[in-house]
Amino acid sequence: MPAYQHASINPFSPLPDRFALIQNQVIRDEAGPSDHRPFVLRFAVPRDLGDPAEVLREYQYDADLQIAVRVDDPETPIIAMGRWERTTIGTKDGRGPGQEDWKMDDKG
Amino acid sequence: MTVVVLAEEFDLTADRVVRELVGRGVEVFRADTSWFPEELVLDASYDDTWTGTLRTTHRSVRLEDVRSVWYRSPSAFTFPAELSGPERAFAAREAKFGLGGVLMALPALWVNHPGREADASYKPAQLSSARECGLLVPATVVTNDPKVVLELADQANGNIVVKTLGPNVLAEDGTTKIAYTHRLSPADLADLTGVELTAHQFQEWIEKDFDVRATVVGDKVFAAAIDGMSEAGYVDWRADFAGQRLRSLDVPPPVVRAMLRYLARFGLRYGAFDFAVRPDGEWVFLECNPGGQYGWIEAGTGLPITSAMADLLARE
Repeated sequence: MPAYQHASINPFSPLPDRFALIQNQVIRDEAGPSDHRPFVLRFAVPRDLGDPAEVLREYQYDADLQIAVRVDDPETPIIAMGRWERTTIGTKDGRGPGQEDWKMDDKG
Repeated sequence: MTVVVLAEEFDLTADRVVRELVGRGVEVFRADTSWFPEELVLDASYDDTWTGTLRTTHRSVRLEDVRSVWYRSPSAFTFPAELSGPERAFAAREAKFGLGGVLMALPALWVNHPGREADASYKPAQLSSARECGLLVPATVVTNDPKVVLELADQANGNIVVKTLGPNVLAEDGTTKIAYTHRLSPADLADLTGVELTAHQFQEWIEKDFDVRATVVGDKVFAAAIDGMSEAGYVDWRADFAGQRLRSLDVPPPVVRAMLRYLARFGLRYGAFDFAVRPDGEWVFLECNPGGQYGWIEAGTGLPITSAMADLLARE
């Protein structure tokens, strides 16, 4: 029987999610033993969500246009290139990548 | 009047909407909350109404001119590295209740209001609300008792799935893992160890011809059939974006009416509904993500969702 510890979030209250934007502690831990692991996580699979830093090296935010453009060609917005790569990278409200982050190169 | 877009700097879906709005001559103020407080300055005063400005070094918006706010997954506030952990947490709370509080107090149209979105993110509430709005929903248990899971499996002839109640993303072992909807095998049912560790959601498996993602923007509905072309993608289309086929389709009017009732019930103006369409043609509600993505649906079907979002945000 594992020793139980209090979780750090408030139970039930949606208040932390109301205009959340508070960077939660990002936990990068090793998986626990299979007999002490929530059942549903037995089926969690690694997924490559890409390296945000790599993408950000190629593009930059243009504060005047208020959209992202290529670093090597600031006249060209990414969206004009017909490419849909990933709608959002990095963290959302500090909660980690969303479940619907997606990647479709060269389609648009 | 100005449309405020709260989004990360690199967000192609937000880029498309910003460009659509600007092309229509609509004033747009885009900001990421990670710019606060260093690059985003709030100056708000209350005297019968909230007035003041929200500004960056490039542009500003008068609070009384905010027509609408698109709360499109902005990122966390950023504070000086010199702050201690407790100071940072305190500063973040104050920023949330200050910047977030002022914006949410404005008489503006929100897509979606963060509070309504938070309320609508609870899947048990989604299921009961969907049913009360007239939609079919799967038999569902939320439990930490393995015996209850076996009872549901008995009722469903062993055909049940497990799916997360909240975000399905986990960072461990130095990588990102995702817990997609999983159809339980007899071996899974024989060993339900771990169910007792927290709340789990199990549902009857819905035999389906295809899935549907119905994106509702205001009162406009854009539906796409999703044909999962792999075994994993058939069970949960999120598991295989590359192997899915999309096609637009019409939504039965009773389902449209039910979705609009559902959004009104939660105070939402945007929702991404997931359905399984059974072989008999009945649509079964699975969930509604109030902040769901639509970029890949628009890219794959040509449905004019960006235009509809611009319509909604720019509406007088």
